[in-house]
Order: sequence, then C-alpha cells, then structure tokens
Amino acid sequence: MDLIRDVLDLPILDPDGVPLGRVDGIVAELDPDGRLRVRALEISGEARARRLHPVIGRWAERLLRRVRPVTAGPSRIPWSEIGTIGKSIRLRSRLAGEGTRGWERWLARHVVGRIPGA
Amino acid sequence: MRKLLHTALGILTSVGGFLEIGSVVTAMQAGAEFGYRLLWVVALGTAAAISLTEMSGRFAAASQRAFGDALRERLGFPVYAAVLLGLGVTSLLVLGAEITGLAVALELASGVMFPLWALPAGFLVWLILWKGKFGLIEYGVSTLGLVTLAFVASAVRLHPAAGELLAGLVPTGPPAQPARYWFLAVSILGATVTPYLFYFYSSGAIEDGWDTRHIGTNRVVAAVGMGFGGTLSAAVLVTAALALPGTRIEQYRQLPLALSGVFGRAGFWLFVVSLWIGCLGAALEVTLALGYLLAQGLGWRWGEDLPPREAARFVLGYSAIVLAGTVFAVAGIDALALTNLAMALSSAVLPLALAPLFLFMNDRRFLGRHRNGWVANGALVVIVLMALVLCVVSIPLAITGS
Repeated sequence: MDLIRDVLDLPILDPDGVPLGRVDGIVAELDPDGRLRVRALEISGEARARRLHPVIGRWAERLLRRVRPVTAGPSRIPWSEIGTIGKSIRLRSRLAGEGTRGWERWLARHVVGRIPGA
Repeated sequence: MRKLLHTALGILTSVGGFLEIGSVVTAMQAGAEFGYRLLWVVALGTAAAISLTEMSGRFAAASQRAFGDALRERLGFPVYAAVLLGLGVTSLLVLGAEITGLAVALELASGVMFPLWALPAGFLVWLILWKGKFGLIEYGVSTLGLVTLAFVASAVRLHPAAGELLAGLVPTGPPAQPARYWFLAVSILGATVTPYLFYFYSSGAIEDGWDTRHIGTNRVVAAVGMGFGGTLSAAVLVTAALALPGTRIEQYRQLPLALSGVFGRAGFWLFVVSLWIGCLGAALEVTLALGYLLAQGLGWRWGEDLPPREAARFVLGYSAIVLAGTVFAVAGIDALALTNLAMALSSAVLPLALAPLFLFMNDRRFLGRHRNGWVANGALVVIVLMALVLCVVSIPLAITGS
C-alpha cells in the first residue's frame, strides 16, 4: 500500500458510518532497525496547517491551543484501531474516534442546539 | 415513469438556478448596448455549461464522490485549500450579488431602500437552509423559477427577425467600444459557466443518491435543462435589444424597464418576482455549493436532509457563509457594480475550478468505464483553454470596460 496515495486524505468513518474527518496526517516512527512504522492517523487543524507551510502550522498550533473546546481529546487514532481501508477508512470501535468528535459535539451542544428548531 | 418524472424535475432544477442576477444583468446590458451581437457568447457559454454539467453528474453517479471529495483525495490538502480559497472568495461575491438582488427586488416592490431589506433577505436564505430539506430547495424554488419564462414571452412578443438572430450567433467583432464589448462577453461567460454550479450539481447528485443507473438521465437533464436556461438568457438579451436599444444600463432601477415596456404594469411585477425567485434560488445554490465544498474537503458530516444537530459543523459553515454574503447588501454596495465584478471574477477563477476536472474525469479508479471519451475530453480541453484566456483578460477588462 502507498500511504500517501491510498491513506492520506481519505475520509475516516466510525463503525456506524458517521464521518469523523479526513486523514490530515500520518504519525510514523523509525524503528531501531531503521524501518518506518505507522503508529497513528491524525485528524487535526494543526496537521492540515503544517501541510500548507511550517509557519502556518505554528500559527495554527498557537491559535488552536487557545480556542479548542475542553472536551476535545487527542485527535490521533492508533493504527491498531483501523479496520478496513478502501474508498474510506472504517474504525474498529466507536471509542477510537471519540477524541475527534470534540468540535462537532461542542458546537452541536452550545451553538446549533440552542437555535430554535434544531 | 418515475425516471421520467425525475428527469422533468431535474430540468426544472437547472432552470431555477440558472436565470439569476448575473445572467439577467449581463444579458440585459449586452442586448441593450450591442443588439444581438453578443448572442453567440450566450450560445458558447450554454454549450460549455451543458458539457460540464453532464460531467459533474456522471462523476458523482459513477464514483460516489462529489468534486470536493475528489479534490482532497486526489490532489491533497494544499491544492484543495487553494481551490477553496479561490472559489470561496468569488462565490462570496456572487452570493453578495444574489442577496443584494433579493433585497433590490424587495425595494422595487415596496419602495423601501434595499439595504434595509438586506437582513430579512439573508435571514430568509438561512431559514430555508435551516428548515428545508434538499428536495424543497431543488424542486420548490426551481418550480417557482418558471416565472422567468416571462422573458421568453416578451422576446416572442417583440417579434425578433429570425435572420438577425441567426446572424447574432456568428461571432463578429464589436462595432465600437471594444473594451466594453469584450468585458460584457467575459461577464456573460462568467454568469453562464458559473464555477460553483458544477460543484453544487455533483453534491446534489450525491444528496439525491444517484448511481450508475442515473447516467442516462443525467445526460438528458444536463442537455435539456442547461439548454433551456441558455434560452432564457438569450430571451433576456433579445428583449433588451428590442425594448431598450442603445440604453446603457447602469442603475438597477432601470432593470424592470425591459419587461414593463412590453407588458406594462404586469411586466414590472413579473420582473420583480422573476428577480426575487432567481436570486433566491441562486443564493441557496451558491451557499450550499460552498458549504458542501468545505464539509467534503474537511471530512465533516454533511447533508441538507440531516437534522442540524447531527451536522453541526456543516450547519455553522453555511450559516457563516450566508452571514458573510449578506454584508454587501447591508453596506448598500451598488447592485450592478457588484454583479459585474462578481461575474468577471467568476470567469477569472474558472481555470482553477475546472482544470482538476480533467484529472478526475479520466481517473480509472474513480470512474472505471464511465471515464471521459475523446469527445468529452476534447470539449473539456477547449473549455479549460477558454477559461485560461478569460482568466488573463477578465481583470484588465473589468477595469477598462466597466
């Protein structure tokens, strides 16, 4: 599999098919034997900003650290939680995607949910 | 039978969003100032729009992706971000023009200055998006849009000479004022081949659950629907050519003259209602096109048929877009100047929006055997080259010709 072609930028869905975001970044580590090993997939504005330019990435990190809703946890999904990869990526468990639901949850509760008729 | 009904509704859809303030203003200016001499541009733009609409529908039906999905997936985040920025800025200007058009229609009807109508107009757009399902926007607004047929009635009633009409379909140079002539030509193309339309159409096909069985239907919808829309634009041009020859239309209060000259008081009201419906339909489409592009590229949950709570980011995305689009009318920016600028910039951004289509429409992984053949690719190459020319000339022309 070609990580950049076949994984990066694909949509990530939870086991029920609910979209969580797209693969904004891939977290990999270099093993002692010199092999690159994928650890996690990342959904985050920082990762997207870094792909535009490192400077924009640093701005985004500083900004998002201040405004991110408290409920938002780590937005990295361990590679072991990845189920199938095809047109989109399906996670094995709902729990694995919890950290990426922060914004959607917070906005649904505090903004959209307060508008009459939501 | 169901399929036939679907085709008929699809055709209405394309018509509803077609005759909006951009098409009305540019076609009217062209007809009034240059007679039938710019008719060929309407025909050229319509042919390009038919071809691109067919590709957008086929792409969505066969690949189960909208263009926003494909941009991110095939070309990566930086390219997606560039298209989002270009399309975003121009679409906001177009949306600004449409909401201003809505407010202007309300001013013409009530006598109350249009900036005061800006907030109610913006709120109406938002409310329909908030409360309405995709079907309401698709079929409801576009069925009402049939009122724009009034322009066809007026063009017929003015008895245009068939020979002169046909002569207008052949490109000839400008008689005088070449900068103005070419500026209007570019604006007409910008209003006919609106970049947001194809992004909207591919998302709409996903909302409607199209699959490969709809590819035949899509071809008919694209050809007949866009052809019909082009006929409407041509009718506006012909009406203006015969009812307002030699007039330079520089104020929006002049706009109803085209129809009131033909049908009297009733014509005035027909114009006001046509402008209102056309701008409403287009405002909804531009907003959704941009909202979809945002949600698809960032992987948010999206869809007009989802309860707002379940697609909070998408809902806030389109809400922010409507709000930004309303600012222009609140500020009381001149409706015609804004429309002309938005249409010229729309054609400037076309290459950015359309060049990726060449890649997508030939991608075996996306489309399999439904990839473009040489005819479609030939058409696409011509359109993208035309878009490149437009991109280079539109800004200088906007300065010298408006």
